[in-house]
Amino acid sequence: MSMSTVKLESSDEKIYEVERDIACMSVTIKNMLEDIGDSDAPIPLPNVTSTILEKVLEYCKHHHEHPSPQPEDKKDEKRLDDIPPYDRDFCKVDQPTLFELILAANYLDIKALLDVTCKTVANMIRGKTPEEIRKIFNIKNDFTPDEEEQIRKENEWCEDKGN
Amino acid sequence: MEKGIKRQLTILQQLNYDSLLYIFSFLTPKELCQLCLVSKDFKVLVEDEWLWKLSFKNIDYLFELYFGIKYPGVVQNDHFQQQCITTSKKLYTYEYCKIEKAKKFVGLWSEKWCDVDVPCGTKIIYDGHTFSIQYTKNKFSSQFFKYDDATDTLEFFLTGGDSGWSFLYSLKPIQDHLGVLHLTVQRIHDNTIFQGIFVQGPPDSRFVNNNSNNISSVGQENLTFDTNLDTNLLQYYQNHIHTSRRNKLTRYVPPLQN
Repeated sequence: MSMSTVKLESSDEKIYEVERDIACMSVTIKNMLEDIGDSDAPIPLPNVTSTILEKVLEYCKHHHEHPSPQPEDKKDEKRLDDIPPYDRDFCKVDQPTLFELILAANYLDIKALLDVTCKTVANMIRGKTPEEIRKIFNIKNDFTPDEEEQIRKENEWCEDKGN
Repeated sequence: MEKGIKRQLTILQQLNYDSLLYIFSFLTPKELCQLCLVSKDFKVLVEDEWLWKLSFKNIDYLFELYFGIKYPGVVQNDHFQQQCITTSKKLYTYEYCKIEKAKKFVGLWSEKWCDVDVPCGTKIIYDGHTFSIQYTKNKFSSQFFKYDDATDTLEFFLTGGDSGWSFLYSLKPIQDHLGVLHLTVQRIHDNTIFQGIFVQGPPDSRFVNNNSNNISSVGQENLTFDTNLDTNLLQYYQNHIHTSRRNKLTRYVPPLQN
């Protein structure tokens, strides 16, 4: 094995040999590699399935080859309309896959991937009514009409003010 | 089979608490309030302290935007103590509502009542705690008296001038007319009441601060009310204010403080 590659093992015991620089885009893997030193043994990733790991590696490979410029202003970090075209297409997956990608990005500590997947979900929520959000995520309304009215009252300060 | 089961799971079952909070951190306070209505579990998540502490960046921004100052933090006055604020969401709401109320008064104002027509003479400043008034025309000196939260009315005194008379100015926002305040002037020595309006000066007048006292430098000396009032407002002025005098109205006159 070349020292410029590392082996990663998914939860379903598939092994992937990837460039070290690409693997190290994950802070979790980078820390593991620093801890174990030079070793041929695959790094176990018990929280990531092979399907998701392949997607994650695809994302990391693309961004390793096409590094995006660092945002100049941190004030805009909450923006939801700044997802680059590749990332937008990358996140066009079904909800379970998107959620698994979020969990994997969180576990592997890949901030760029975590941001883009979470922004995609936030975009699914933005501008929607509570009923629309329930439909999108298959959630049951468990409030009584009185409870709903009470919550509306608590939150009426923010109605139609564009804050 | 496994995929079929996953499709039936909701976002709350598939994602952990921290991931959900991170997703919600990209939403505005208004959007978070909408989410409270989705379900009980969503409400618990959306009211998490971390999310609302994060939202205080928005308060910082609004202070800069409307008052031209850094957010000074929470002022724990009597009004604050009465609110029983126990969560970051409630604190955010309290501060946000404070900004919403104060911003309607802050800025450089022109006044019109009776035969008085003073362009850009009054500057109202808010420091996060209280208002202060700067009146720079006709040798008057000004003194903030009070802001009444229940009636959304700001009052200040004007004293001096050529006549030496004192006036109590009461300002109240007019619904659907941003940048316009209903003015009630009480001439103190004879309790005469006049009605009028305050119209906001140039747009950048919001960014006034205590160090800037040169009102005439904004170049609005020739400002006339007619060019600044839209038709509806002119009608409002004619129908409701029309400089009517109601002499000798009985009204509590607070003692003038030096």
